[in-house]
Amino acid sequence: MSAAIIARGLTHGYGEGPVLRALELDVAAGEVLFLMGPSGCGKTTLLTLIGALRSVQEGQLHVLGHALHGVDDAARVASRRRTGFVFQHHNLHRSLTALQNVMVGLEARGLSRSTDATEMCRAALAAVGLAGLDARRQDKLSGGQRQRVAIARALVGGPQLLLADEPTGALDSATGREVMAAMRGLARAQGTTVVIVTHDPRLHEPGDRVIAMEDGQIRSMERELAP
Amino acid sequence: MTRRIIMLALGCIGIAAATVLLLRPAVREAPAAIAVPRVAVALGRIEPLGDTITLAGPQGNRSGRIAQLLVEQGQQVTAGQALAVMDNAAALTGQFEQARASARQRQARIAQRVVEMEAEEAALGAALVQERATRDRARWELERTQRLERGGVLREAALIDRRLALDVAEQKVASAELSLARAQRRDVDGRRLEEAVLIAEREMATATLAQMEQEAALATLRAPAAGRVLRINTRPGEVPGSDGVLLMGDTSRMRVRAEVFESDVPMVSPGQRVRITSRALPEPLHGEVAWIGLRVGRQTILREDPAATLDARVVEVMIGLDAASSARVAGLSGLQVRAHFGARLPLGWIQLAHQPGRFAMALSGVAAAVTLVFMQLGFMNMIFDTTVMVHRLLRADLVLVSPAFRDVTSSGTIPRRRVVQALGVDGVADAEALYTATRDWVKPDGERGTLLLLGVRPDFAAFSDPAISAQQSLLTQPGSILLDAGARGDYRAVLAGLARGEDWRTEMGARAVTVVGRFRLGSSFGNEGVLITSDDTLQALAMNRAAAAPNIGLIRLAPGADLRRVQAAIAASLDPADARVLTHAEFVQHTRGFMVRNSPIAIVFGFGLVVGLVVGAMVVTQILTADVQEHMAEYATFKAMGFSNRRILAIVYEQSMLLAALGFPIGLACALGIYELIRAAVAMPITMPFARVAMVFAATFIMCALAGTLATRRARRVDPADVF
Repeated sequence: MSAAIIARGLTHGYGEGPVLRALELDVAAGEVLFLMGPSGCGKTTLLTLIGALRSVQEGQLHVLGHALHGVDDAARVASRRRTGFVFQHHNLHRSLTALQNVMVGLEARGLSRSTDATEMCRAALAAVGLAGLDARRQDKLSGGQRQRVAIARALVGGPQLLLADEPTGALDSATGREVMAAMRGLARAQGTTVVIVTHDPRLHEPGDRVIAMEDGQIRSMERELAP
Repeated sequence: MTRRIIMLALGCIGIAAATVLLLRPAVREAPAAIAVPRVAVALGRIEPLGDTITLAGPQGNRSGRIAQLLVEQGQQVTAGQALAVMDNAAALTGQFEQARASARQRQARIAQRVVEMEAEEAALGAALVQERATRDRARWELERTQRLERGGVLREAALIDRRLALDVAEQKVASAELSLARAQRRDVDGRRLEEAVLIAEREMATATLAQMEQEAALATLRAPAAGRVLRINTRPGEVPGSDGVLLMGDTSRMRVRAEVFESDVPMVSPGQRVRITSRALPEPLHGEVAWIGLRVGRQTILREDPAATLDARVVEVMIGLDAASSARVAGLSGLQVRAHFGARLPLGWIQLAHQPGRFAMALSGVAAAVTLVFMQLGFMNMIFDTTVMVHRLLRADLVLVSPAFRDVTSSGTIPRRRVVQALGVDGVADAEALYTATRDWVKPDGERGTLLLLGVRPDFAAFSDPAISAQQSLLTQPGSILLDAGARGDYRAVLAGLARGEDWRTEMGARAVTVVGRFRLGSSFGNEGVLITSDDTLQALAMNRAAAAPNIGLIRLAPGADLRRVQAAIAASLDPADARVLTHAEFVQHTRGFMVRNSPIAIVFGFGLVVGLVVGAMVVTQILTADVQEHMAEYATFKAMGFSNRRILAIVYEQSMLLAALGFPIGLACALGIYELIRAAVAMPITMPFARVAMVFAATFIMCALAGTLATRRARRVDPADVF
């Protein structure tokens, strides 16, 4: 199985000492990886580096076969187009309908030109259980539905990598499980590699890899076993 | 014209309203209300970004077969790299080496001959010295023999021998000098003649050698530029044909040449992202539209479907592939692909329409600015137009005016004899004097009003308005006057009476006058209207006016007369101190130009115009900046998802352009309404020429573009990492 993410000696800081310290990481394609750890341990920084939202300061980072160290803005934008993002707060555009929000994800990837763009977006909404709610704006959707729209937006067009930052953090546990199931279902169907930052161990499933981070380094790494 | 512009403005507003209604955000949950992008698909071919090069074989007598191919298809080559060797390469190289050896031999021979010539020259010099010594000895012997012979010591025969010996010696000296001089002869470059001949032969041989070297070099085909070998057309043993030895191109950046149906071209724009698919590609490629062709042509790339249209009209669109996509198809030049274009989500419009209150406020700001600008321009031009209103009413090809002339109310006078003088110029058909005066009269309501009085001979058709010409005969009666129906004041009863055939009598100064007819011109800032009468009545009403001193001379030319020539002829006959002759157009422009140059009107209204645009720009900037601020989180999210900075800025610019496009017709409609009110209120001509509409339309877009640029400052600083 080929590697989706390779990090070597990844070090990153914000002026008050490094947040990540010579981190080494390999994530296989199609794998589901959980990043856990206390606040300030560097997991969100790692996520932003993998997502090409920040420049790599030190070390090497390859995502989906492309180097992200020593590259310019254009290369980082190109990398972001290959990646889907799900944020703790859905960050849906308040003026857009559910379908239009998903369409934005497709356009970001340069795919809204495909003849079946609308159908792709409707299918993505249906895959997360929102069939028939295409024309609703976020103020007419529940918190769980909004997060599902965000997942559909992140996964429409089949990105090879999905990065999620506390995707269920703002939801109650039942809704969180539903959202997580929707995300896993769509990602699995598309063979997408998933990296999730979370504090909630109940989201793990057998086969997932769980990395515990502390002080910018990986403290432990284990594979979730079947109960 | 005004009616057409009103219709145009109403049409624009209608379109704007329809657009708002059709594209407004869906408040109901009806799927039909969702704005989704339309798409266009075009066939295309992948090719290198730079032009492809067909490498031809050697031509003429150097042509031959390919002996050796040094590269393979798909291989990357550097500039100057050897690609193939022709079968005559060895022979040509051998000939070149032979020629080079010959050249070296020739060079050595030249060196040898130079040494020899130097030695010969030295020997000849030495021989000359020796011959001169011999001659000097013979001369001494002769002199000695002569002395001895005179002393009787020697006989005459000895003397003859000595003289003969001297002659021989002198001939040898002359011969030696000649030989030396020949050996020392030089050309203009200071070289010995033989040496110059040898050097010329050497240079010719060198040129031949260079040519042979070039021919030998051409037998090895080299890459003219760095690139990739795309196709090999000639194999070893074959003679290169018309398609050359091989095809190469720079494949570091690739592009797609797509043929877009002409009906789909509006959906394609430069910078637009395009998705490229092909059965041969497991994943789509991505690129941006680089340029759109300017010519509609016939389709050359055809679908596999036998039922597909073969004669479709298409426009060529060039799509630059991004670096990753270029690398993937570097070896697939010529691959047929499908390019998927489509309109982007109209995010700018959606954001504007989502907040109708703010949208309406922004539109009001733009419309107010447009209205303000139109008002400033309208007032300014109204002032200028009213000053030349009477000018335009006068029917003349040439006009005589005083050197002090500024406008009809401040015109000075000219000698009447100048008008008579003009009649004598060849090409002049008619000429007459026009008198002007500003007089007060008693209006129907008893108030006094100031009007401009024009007096001209009643049988001279001095006015371009046929209604005036038709009534001029009524002015033969002393005290008769034609009234301007557009004059400021309530003349409704008078005009109604005139319509019934009833004259109206009133006072002007201390004299009675009778209004016997009407025409329509309008008032100006200087007077309430215009009255037309005969020259005699005007002189009677304006007590100090002398018939010999009219204000303006009106000259009409005979059919076919040359305007400029007649003007020059009249000017030549005039005394520049008391009159000058202008064409009608110059007459109008003279007064208008004087007003523009010498009054603060243009500056005052120009300032108002700038204020209008600045206020409009400020309103739009504030609205857009607030919108950007409100959507910072969304923009950061968009950036995190892969939107480029340019796409984010395009949202803001889209909004500013929409505000310009929708705000302008509203402002235009408001301005036209106000123009109409002004016309009714002050009876002054305020018009809306199309050029002004176009100018303000452009200014509105520039204003909104500037506001958009200012508003994008915040959007530029959006950091995608802020979403976490």
